[in-house]
Amino acid sequence: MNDSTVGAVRPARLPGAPGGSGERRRRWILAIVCGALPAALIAAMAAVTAALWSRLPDQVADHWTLAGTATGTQSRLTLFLLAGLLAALGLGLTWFGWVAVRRGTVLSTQAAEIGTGIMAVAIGVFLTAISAAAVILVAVVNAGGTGLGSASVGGGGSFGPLGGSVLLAALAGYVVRRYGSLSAADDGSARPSLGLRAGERAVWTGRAQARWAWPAGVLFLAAGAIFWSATARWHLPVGLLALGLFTLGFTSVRVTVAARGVTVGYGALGLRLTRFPLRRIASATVAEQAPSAWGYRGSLLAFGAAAVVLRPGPALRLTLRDGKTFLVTVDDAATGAALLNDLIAAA
Amino acid sequence: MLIRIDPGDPRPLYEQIELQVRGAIGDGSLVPGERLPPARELAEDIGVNGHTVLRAYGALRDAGLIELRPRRGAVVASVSPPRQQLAALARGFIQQAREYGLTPAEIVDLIEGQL
Repeated sequence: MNDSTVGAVRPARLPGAPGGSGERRRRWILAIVCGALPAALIAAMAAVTAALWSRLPDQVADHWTLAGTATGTQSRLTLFLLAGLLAALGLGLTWFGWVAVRRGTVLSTQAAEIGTGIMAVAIGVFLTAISAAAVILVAVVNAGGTGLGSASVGGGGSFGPLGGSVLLAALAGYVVRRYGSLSAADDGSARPSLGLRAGERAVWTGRAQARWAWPAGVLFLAAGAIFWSATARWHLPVGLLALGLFTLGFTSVRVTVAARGVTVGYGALGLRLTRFPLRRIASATVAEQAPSAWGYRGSLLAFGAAAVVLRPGPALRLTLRDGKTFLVTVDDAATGAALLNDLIAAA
Repeated sequence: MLIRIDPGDPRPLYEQIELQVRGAIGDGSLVPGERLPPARELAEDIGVNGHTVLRAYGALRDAGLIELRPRRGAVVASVSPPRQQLAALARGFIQQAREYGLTPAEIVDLIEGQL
């Protein structure tokens, strides 16, 4: 590719640009959802426990029928320790997701980090909220009582914490998706071009192979066959054989860029499971994939970002017209991105 | 592998396709054993007749660069002819010489000095 034909760099003036006031607002919103919200839940949990601890019986009711009659009890200490551990796990997951989203938005090439981050934040907030709600419910219902008989809740009362936690987690996931993936869209970095002239037509294919794919797939198949003949149980051999076939089937990609759009074929069979018509694509850029991640990550539907990562190195990154991002590692991604931008411009 | 067709180019379409596949094999972007796109699909993507692509593939097969198999389609031949290997070596040599700042005339002088 000739350097003189590389497309002009668009100035980065998006609301998510680092340093702008939009970026500060986004960081605040993320900090409230991922930092302050779980902290407040855990603080409420600790405060209620501290206030009511001395009034709780040694065995507290923790299971109720649908009608609200208590049916099970648990040691006070065990229940609160378990809930505390679960809340801490939720807090850790939320912070992990927060870091992933921040890194994803700052580097903006790591589109799939955002998908992973949203999932981690949603699960983390759910775990923290359900532990906090469970502790508060159990503490309030059992306070001053003597055990099973006196601890009843209103009809369906135990579903309140579950429903509330799911809602809170969904809300956190939505907010992180809304404010976490802004600059994951086209960040104004250079859009390469081939300089395709009017009337010229072109097609590009590139491929990428996970280096460990063949040995790993063959190893799984061989292990499956050996277990098959050696044991009477079928679960393990069938699992290994399936894993081997899956490994061989999905650890290489062949990406085609043509006037009809972008097609990704997977594995030796070339299963074409991913297609983007040209009219759905806004622009294409090249990203450098870090060696830390691999696999099919994220989800276009749920998180607005997905990535097929088979190896470190160059990747083709598509920004779709609806702001979503798709990334696939492929050799010579620069030529593919350049051709795609020219085809979009000519369409 | 990029295949780029210019209807304004005086060379016939099949020759343009053939030259670009040759180039891709020469510079290593197509490796032995790799499948070329099916003729019908490539023809649709670059807007030419299917026979044009088949003619290009036929010429490449005659040159020993690809094999045409009934089910697998066009596959890059496992052993490229000696001339093709030399061309790839020359390409690498020239690239290196350019990186050292040699002009085309100086590169030719260098080769002639070795003959």
